[in-house]
Amino acid sequence: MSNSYIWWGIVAYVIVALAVGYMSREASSASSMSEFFIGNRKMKGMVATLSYSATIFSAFLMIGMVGLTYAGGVGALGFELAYFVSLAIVALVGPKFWMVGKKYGYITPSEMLGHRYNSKALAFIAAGAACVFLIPYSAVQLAGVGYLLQGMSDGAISFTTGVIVAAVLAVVFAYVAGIRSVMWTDALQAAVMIVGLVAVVGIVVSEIGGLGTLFDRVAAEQPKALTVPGDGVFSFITFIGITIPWLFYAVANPQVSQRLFMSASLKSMRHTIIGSMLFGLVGIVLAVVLGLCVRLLIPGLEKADLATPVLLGSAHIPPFIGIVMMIAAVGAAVSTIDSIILTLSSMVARDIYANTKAASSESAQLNIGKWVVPVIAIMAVVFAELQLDLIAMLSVASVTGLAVLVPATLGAFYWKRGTALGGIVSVVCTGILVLFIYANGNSLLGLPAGVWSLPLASILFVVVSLFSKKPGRIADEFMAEATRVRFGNDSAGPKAVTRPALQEEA
Amino acid sequence: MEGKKWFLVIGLITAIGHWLPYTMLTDVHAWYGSFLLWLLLDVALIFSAMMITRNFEDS
Repeated sequence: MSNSYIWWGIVAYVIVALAVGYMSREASSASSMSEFFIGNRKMKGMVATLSYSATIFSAFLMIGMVGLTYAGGVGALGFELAYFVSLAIVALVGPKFWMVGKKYGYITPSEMLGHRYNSKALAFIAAGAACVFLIPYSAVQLAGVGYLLQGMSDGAISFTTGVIVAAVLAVVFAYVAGIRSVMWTDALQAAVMIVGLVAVVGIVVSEIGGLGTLFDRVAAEQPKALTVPGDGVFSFITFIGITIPWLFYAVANPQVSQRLFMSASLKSMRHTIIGSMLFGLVGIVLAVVLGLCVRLLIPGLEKADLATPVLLGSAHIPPFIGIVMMIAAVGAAVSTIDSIILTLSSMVARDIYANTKAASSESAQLNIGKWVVPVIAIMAVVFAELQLDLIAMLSVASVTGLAVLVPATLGAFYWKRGTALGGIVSVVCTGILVLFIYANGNSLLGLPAGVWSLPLASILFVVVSLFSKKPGRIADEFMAEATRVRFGNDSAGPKAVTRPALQEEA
Repeated sequence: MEGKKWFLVIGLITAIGHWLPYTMLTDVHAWYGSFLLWLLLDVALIFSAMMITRNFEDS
């Protein structure tokens, strides 16, 4: 495909996205932490649903999932089951997040942990772990754009150019109006992405001769693509290594769980959860079908992640649709990295800076948060340049690391005996072990890090909690608040209270 | 407790989604094998989430 088409497509996207982002700004402007990072807890409707969907499914869906299906067949759909499990778990845990968030005014999930366990150290460590493990996930989004522009231009636009373009756009959009502009541009991109996917899959499937012919041909020519372990990509150990950490993805990944603080009401939360599951179902089936189509039409690609880009740049797809899809994929990647950047910068400001500096003002925290935005973007660019693995596998590495936060997070709501020390030991020890396992080829005693992280973090959390001092009054109040409201009772939420600064209980 | 019941349902769906494709369906090279099973389990999870959140209200 001609480079000028690609560049004009990007220019058109930037103009439209900037206009939407600018218009989304509230008259009051983003001058407070709550407005800039969580939209004053007023997010609802189609925008909240599409934005949540775009943050969860992102470029990973259009490029990573198609690439994973290209490499290993329908096992990719099985992996996606874990996404749905995590969203069903959010339906159970989400109201508790929302309730305590509204009551105590939390901006970040690690701030919530710090308060529940009455420990600045735990808030600091949880925020630190999120920073370490979310960098690869941000890098994955940038790499998605890199592969896209490289594949569509047949190498004329380099991977690095694509990565840098995406990083610059992400920083600009984050600055326009914080989370509000990110959510509106998210919503726009998600809508374009799903319509574009329908068009592309429609074109390619009809070229093959319909869905029946597609599955008949795959069954005849590449039968293993319709089963697991298939060609061997999805051995059972590999499969559980990628699904186990993902079961709690929407609870453990702070850029997703932070959204639970933003819902205007429990009814909006319901719409967001169900809407994003329906969005995901359509998107995932389309991505898997597309992956199977590309296996038949363009076999032998050197990198599986180039499946979507090469298809979009090929004669199979009309150039206009190819460009629209490219814009949607770039937009999805940029909006996801924006969500991550905003979440991480809010954590650095709220849980690292504010916890180490006595009496830091709200405006000082916001300034620090804004300074952190480009720093995280640069780190993600450096990581993306390493091109370590398949997009899907790098995402798994990130979620595997973040799974160390699951026991402390769920324990905050469901296990009163859980303590700060239990949380700290489980996050630090398991986090270090996950890094060690990845540094040694992702195998310890024959098992990948994904199989180790969640069980080990859970055991450490429980054992250390049982051997440490019982939590005090704050934990009791927190849990009473979290369990007071659920499933329809008092779903307008509590009145906000002024939360005193943390003081470690003696 | 309603929450506990739903955790069990979600756990059961997860177990089926891991067990059947690697046992009974490992030689079914067709759309009605693992592909269909995972699709149906996704739908079951969406239905579960709808049931869990059915009473969420504005006020």
